[in-house]
Amino acid sequence: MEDKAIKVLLIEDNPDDAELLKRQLARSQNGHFAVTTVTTLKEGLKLLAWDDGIDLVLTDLSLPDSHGLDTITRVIYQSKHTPVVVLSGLDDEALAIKAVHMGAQDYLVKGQMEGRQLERALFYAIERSRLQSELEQYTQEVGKSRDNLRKIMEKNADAIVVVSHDRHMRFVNPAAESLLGRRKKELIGKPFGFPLEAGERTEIDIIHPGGETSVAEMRVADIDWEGKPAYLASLRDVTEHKKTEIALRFSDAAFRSINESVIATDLDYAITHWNEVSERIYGISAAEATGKKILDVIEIAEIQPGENAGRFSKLENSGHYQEEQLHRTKYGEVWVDVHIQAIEDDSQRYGWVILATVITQRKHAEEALKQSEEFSSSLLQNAPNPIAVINPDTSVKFINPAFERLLGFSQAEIIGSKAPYPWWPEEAREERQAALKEALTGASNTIEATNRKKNGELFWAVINSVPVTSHGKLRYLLVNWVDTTERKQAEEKLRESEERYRELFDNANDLIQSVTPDGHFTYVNKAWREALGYSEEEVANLTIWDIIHPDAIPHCKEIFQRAIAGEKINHIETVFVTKDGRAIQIEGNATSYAKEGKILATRGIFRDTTERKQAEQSIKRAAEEWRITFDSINDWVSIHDTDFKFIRVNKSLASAFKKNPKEIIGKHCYQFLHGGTQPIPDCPHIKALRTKKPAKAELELPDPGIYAEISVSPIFDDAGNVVATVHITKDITQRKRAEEKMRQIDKMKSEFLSNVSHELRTPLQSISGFIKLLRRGQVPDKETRQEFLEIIDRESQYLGNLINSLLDMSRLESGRFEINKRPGPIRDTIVDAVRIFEGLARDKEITLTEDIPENLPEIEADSERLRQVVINLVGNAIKFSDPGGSVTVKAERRNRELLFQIIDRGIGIPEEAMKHLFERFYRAEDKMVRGGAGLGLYISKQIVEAHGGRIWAESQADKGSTFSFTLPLNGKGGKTHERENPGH
Amino acid sequence: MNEKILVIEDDPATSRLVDYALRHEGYQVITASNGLVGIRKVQEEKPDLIILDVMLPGMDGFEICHRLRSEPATAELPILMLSAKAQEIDRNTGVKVGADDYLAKPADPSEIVSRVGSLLARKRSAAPAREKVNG
Repeated sequence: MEDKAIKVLLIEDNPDDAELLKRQLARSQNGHFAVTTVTTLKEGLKLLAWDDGIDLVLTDLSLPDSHGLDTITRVIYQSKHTPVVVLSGLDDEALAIKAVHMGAQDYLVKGQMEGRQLERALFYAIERSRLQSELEQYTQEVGKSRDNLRKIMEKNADAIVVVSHDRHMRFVNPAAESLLGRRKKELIGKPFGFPLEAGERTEIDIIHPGGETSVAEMRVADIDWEGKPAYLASLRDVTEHKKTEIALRFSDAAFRSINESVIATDLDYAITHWNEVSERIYGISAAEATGKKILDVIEIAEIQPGENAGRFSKLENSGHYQEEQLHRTKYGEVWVDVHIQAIEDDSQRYGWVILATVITQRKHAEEALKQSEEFSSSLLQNAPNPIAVINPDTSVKFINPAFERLLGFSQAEIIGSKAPYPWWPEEAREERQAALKEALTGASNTIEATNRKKNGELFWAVINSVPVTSHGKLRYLLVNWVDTTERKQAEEKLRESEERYRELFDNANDLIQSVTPDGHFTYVNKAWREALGYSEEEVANLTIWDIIHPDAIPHCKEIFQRAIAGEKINHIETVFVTKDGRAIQIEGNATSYAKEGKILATRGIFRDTTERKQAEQSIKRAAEEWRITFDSINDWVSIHDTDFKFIRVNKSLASAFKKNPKEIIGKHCYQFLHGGTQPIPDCPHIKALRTKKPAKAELELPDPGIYAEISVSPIFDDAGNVVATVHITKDITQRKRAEEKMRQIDKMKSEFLSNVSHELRTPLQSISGFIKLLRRGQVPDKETRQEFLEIIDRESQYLGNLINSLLDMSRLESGRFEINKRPGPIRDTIVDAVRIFEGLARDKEITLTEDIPENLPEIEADSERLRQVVINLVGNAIKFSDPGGSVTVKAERRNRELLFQIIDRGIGIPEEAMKHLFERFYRAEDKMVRGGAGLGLYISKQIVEAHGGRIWAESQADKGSTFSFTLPLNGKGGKTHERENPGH
Repeated sequence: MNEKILVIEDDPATSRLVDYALRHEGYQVITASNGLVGIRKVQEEKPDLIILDVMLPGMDGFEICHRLRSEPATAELPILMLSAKAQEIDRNTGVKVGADDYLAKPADPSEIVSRVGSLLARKRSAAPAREKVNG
């Protein structure tokens, strides 16, 4: 403290006082005071807050911001450990005491102190304050350690009791509460009854309020408790440990003393314990056995191969095992009752304990007993009648299960009981006693008597008592009951059941009949009478043969014989005739019943299947009708599943592909019909599946090479789902071709009109043109005028012919084309027609020749029409010949007809044109033709054919063509319209 | 004047009519009865105008017209088509292949003469203009 300056905080608002104090302290010889002066409490507190090096606060009590003792409180609150000395102007003792009480170290009065006094007062104040805080700290630490000790004691698992030297308990922890079995408040302050000696370890027995005891181990230590010496007793509950110890001791003794083989093994069945009994049984010492595997020491006879493996797995699964085993030991085979139990706790298994008791003798005894008793026992056990075995002293030795069942008494209740027995009705006791007595004398007897069941019910029975003796001595009495109640009840039941059957029969819908071997009815039910229309009285006079249809009699006779022979006939279909002569179809079966081997009657149960038969037939017929319809349809009809597969196909479809329907069923339609691996685009099947509506498509089927119209209609199930589709495929090739043809004809017609217009306009051009020139006087020259008039005349004629051709065509179209055949020479007609072309041929420098025999026979012909044909053919020949060419017209007789030929050396006819030559409107390639309406050859053909002749053409390109036609010599075969059209 | 007109026409009567009508007006007339002869005569005779029938044996009028238009020498040669094919489509085809004018049969000879006259007049007025441009 001398080396270091003592930092003093002076809180003083009077500067003179402050200055005075500073000076006094500056004069100090014992230490150096560093004084910091502030004038307000606020400033002083602020300084105290951040400077913890201040050693002392010297404060005035009346400050500008604080008055009186409150100033002390506020300073101490700010800095608890800094000593405060009050410097006051008031010499007031009461106030000084108050100030010290509130925590000030001293109270100094201004102006009453010498410099050294002040110095000393401050030193003391600092020292006092230091000692005070040290004491405080020490006190706190002492309190803390006591608390810790208590805590430790409280939490300790061992029971801890603190006992004062006057042997009263001062402290107990929770463990002690539970060990002593009493609450804390019951213990504190009570005497502690056990001897206490520090450092000793003793065992004490604690008796609990419930009476049970536990054992605790107690250690005692000396402690200082709340300032006084005391004992600290720590107690540990060793009850369980003790028990185990005792049990262990006991079991050890038991292990040594028990009279059975006790073996313990580890989990691998290696022997760890082997008691003396085991040594005796197996002839192997503990030393020899220990450490070996159990099966290496004990041989268990396997009755079934591999049985031991099964035993071990069973054992390991369940943890225990019991069995009587046959062990092979040094001394021979021993029967052993083996118990094996796992040594385990909840979580782990440590090994096995095997207890084995030799039971060889018992086994042998059992075996012998079993053999001797098996027969009689099973007899008794399984006998349907109640049997009791009664000892000579009338006690019941045995009752069998049938006894228990019938009389309701259990073995436990009856065995050992003596007469009078509980099944004897009270009123019959004497009688029964007498009968028993008689039987016990060795005379068997039979009585019929009532018996009482456990539930009080009485029943009649025939009771048979038979004494069983051995070596001339009665051993026991065998009593058996034959319950006649059951028989009586059975009879009753039978009668009831018969009635029930009869009722059943009568109410059955089936026709039931019973017929004697001679054919008479012993019984028919109501349904039978109703179906056949007979009354009960009438039935009595009928025989079976009266109701069987005459056609069915031979068949039924055979069935009847078989039924009488005892055969059960399961399926009979025949026809009965009703009283009013109606045939009814019946179906059913027949059996017979016999008594003592003699057939009494046949019983038949039938059902009227007339309606069903009719329904079946109509279904069959409908199916047949449908099948025939299906197969008769010329269109292809097929049914497809949703996966495009054929389910059914009709004959027409199958035969179109030269296949059996079976070969098509199951195939995909896109594969079979269209040869693809996927459904075709715009497949109507897909469309029908999607829209659930019929769909249609026109397709070309490549394989048969046809055009088909496929109509697909969906088939629905009850839920409205499409399950299949019907495809109707129509061959529309003809229609398609006809349509194509129509299109061609339309085109030809339109071309024809265009041509006709052209052909009409061409002559019209010259006719009208020349007329205009002439009328306008533009042709002054007479010869030229004449020439023009001739042209007009010729062109007009051409126009006339053209119009005739058109009319002919029109007639042909409407079927009104006629020819008028007359017999006459036709040579002239032909020659005249050829001559028309002489001028034209000359102009075109074409050689035109005719080769027609003078003696060409007369025929019947329409010479006008014939001329038309020749003009047409010769005209064409010239038209298609180039200058320098030649045209020859020939005629000759061939067999029964005349052959005409017009031969040219022209350009020839292209191959593709040949087949169309004679079709109407057909014109060879435009470029080759000079005009023409395309009607000439068509009309010529019609004319020739109307005469019964033929017309044809042959041609070679660039070499020329030959057109030929024939006319029949006899003039027959053609159409003659002379009479119908006399005016023509 | 004496301009030269080629008539390609297979119908002798029509050919004679046109020939007479044009000659009567003072034109020089040559005729051909089919396309091949016609084209040969165009090259040989260098007519000032052609009257062309459509329906001709072999090469038809449209084709002849097309061919003449494809040749630079005859590209501008006035062509009057005269045809019995009266439909509109034929008229359009004729114009498309480059015919200058089109007349349907039967046509008045004076109409033919008048059309020929106006085509030639157009040719006469066009020719110097073209020369001007070229020069």
